Amino acid sequence: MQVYSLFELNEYVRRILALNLPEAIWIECEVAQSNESRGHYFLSLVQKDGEQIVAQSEAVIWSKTYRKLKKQLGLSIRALLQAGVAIRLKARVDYNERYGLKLVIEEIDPAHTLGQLELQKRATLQKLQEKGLIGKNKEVVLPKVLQKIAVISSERAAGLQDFLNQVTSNPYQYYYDLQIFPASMQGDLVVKEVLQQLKKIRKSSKQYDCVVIIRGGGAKLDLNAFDQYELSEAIANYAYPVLVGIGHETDESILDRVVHTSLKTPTAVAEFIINRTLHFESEVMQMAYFIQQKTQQTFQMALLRIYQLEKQFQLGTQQIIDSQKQQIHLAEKQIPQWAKFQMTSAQQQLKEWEKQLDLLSVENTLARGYHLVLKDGMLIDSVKEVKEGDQIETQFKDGRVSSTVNDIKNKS
Amino acid sequence: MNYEKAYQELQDIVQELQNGQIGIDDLSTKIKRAAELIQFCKEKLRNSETELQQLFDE
Repeated sequence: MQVYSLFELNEYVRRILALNLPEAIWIECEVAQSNESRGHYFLSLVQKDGEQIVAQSEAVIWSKTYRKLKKQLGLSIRALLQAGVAIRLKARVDYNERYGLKLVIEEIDPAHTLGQLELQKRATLQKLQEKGLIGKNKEVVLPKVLQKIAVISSERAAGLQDFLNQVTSNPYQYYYDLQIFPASMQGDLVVKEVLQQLKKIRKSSKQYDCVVIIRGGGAKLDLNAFDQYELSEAIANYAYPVLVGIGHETDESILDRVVHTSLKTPTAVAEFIINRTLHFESEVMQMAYFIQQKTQQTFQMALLRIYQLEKQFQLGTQQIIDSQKQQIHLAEKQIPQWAKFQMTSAQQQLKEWEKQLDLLSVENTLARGYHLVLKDGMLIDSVKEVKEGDQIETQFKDGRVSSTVNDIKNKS
Repeated sequence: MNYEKAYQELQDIVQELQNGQIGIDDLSTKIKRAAELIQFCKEKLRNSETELQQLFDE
């Protein structure tokens, strides 16, 4: 019976592995755990069949490789190394006689993870749709003015300070009551902490106009948490309208589909809030303007009516004048007739008077036995007009007598 | 009073004016009310609750 030392065995295993797996190979698995130490990343990789783990291996990304991968993948790498992420990686199977089997990761294919996430996302979306949760938060009435705002964000998030500055120092001097509810915006704790804060806000005695969830830019994979069913469900059913700006330009997360209003960045959320207030105020001012105009109009109309009444009154006066004029006109026509009539009657009167005058005429007087005394052809009616020796004539009805005055006696 | 109520009341006044339902005698009462509502909105938009409280206490 041949007996080997443990080292001999392990060395044998190492040789077999090195011989059969001389180069790095691509593996698909799930990240179960990930720890960083001095720039090296130590991962626990698993494969599950349902909830059952059917395979498990330890893996490492040496700091040198990590730096290379970070350069290549950018911020996505942190998201890729989160627990629960399906990952495709290229690893060399390393076996150490003392430390056993370890996968040394050389490359990561983010497309696979994204693809997996996309599949997950679709499944989540479908579930949300089936439960009628898509667009549910949209039905919550968004107040015309968002003034009391609960902000869920990480105090370390890049976008938070920008958001706060922009909102508080708006050019219109609008006042906003912002209360921050801190929660992780990346990493494993996002879902848990955001859910906690949502609960806290709802239980608060203070009424809010809306909830805002914001964070600055981040890797696409970092948004994974915002595609989780649990969080999406809570937000869809939330009592307050939820606004998000989680800093992504292209891809829509599920969160965007379940919230009331989704905006690209925290800055865009700030703008939205300020513009909404501005819109409200301008509407109020428009109404104020309308009321002012209409009031002025109404008063003008009233004045106009008074003016019209005045005019009607004037017209009435005019009518009186006109009728007077007509009367005058009529009179004008009538006057000649009247005059003619008057003339005729006057003529008659004249004839009457002539008749009477006729009775008083000299001839008739003389005929009745009176006579006239004349001196130098002129009628005289006083003794004072004659003196002794004057020649006078006496007119009778049938002739004249000349005589000389020889005695004058005054009536005493 | 809140924004929504103030807005609604203003809109009602606008509506009444539009329909010519306000007689000249009621007009000044309505205008006074409208001015109050507008004032309320403009002040609330720019002041915190505590400041507002002070404003209305005066």
